[in-house]
Amino acid sequence: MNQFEQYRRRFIGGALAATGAVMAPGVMLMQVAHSRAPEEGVSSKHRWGLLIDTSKCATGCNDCVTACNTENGLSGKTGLQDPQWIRKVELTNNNTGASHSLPMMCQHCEHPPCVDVCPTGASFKRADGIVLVDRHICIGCRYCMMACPYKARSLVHEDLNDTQLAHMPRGKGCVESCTLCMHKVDRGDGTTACAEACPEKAIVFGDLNDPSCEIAQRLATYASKEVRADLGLNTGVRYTGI
Amino acid sequence: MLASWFKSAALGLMVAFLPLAQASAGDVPKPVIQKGEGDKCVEDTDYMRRNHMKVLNHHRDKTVHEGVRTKQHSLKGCIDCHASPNASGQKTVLGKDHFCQSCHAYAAVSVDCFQCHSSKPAGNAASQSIMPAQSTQGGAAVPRPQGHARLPLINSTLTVKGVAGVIK
Repeated sequence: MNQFEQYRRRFIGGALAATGAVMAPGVMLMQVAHSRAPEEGVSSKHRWGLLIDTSKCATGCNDCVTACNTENGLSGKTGLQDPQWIRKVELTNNNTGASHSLPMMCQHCEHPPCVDVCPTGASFKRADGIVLVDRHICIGCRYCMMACPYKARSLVHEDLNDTQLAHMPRGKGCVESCTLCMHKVDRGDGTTACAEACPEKAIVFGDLNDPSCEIAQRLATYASKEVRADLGLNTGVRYTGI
Repeated sequence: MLASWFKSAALGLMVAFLPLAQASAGDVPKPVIQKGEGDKCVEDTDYMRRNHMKVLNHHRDKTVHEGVRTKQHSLKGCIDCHASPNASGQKTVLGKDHFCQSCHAYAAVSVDCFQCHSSKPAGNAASQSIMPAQSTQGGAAVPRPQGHARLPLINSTLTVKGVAGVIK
């Protein structure tokens, strides 16, 4: 994109935002913030993330996991060697007996250990904060799986025999994990499969950098936690209620 | 005088062996290139025949790392236009006489794309069975790859005899 094109976009974006502010402030501003032309690459202006309210997350409910499997073409099996992008975790306080349930997936760290250890550069963080595996470069060494404190990554052990979905290429011998539904993000859906599927609306997807986004407002208002905050990874997935 | 005799002898030998050479070339069937959907390809056909792999690789990196989702040089775009129905009516680019595999088999170049990418157009996603429980046809419905697992699954419909140079 040349300089003029950038100026043009910025001008049009500004004009739209101004019009939106007059007509319907909240709605229009959201749409302008989320829309991106297909030829435009991702930028660090956004940082996509999730906020999960564990007080709403029900024990035994698996809807986010099922939705993720359907969206991305995972088998749904939970054996030791089966790829799982979201795991439901049950937490119990031994002193009080209080128990929590929460979904655990790739936390999309700002400083991802999986990227640090990758010997080929296959594990990388996109400019908008989504941590991904480039399967074209991945050699399946699984260092990233060992480095991840959240057990978020899986290796595909079995041949998938052309059962992959068109928007989500996956293959034997490659490591994979939650992509924060990047195909939906790139399309401008502004949500993820898990967030859509949650019956309690316990998962909120949004831009951590955009103060008008619900997720940023909630993070600014309520106390939230990063899992293993002591590691200083600055995760993109945050939890309330734990 | 002697030189000219040698020349004519050599020419005679060549002429004698020419039919043999032609016969062995004829064993390899020409690829079946089916016409894709739409009026024309995103680039000239000649350019695409020589350079489609470079175009795809470039677009691949732009998409995976930068999130660029233009349609023009995307593999999905290729499949959407060039997939043709197989015996069971499923549109695909793989299989004998289908767009990708037919040419790649002729050129004896393995095509690795479809180890991970779906060979079916996006519109047919509903007809794909992603849950193993849904494939009720039994174990035979999904052919297991033979030999080295990293090699392409090109052997399901083609025979070694029919396609010279394809690694089985």
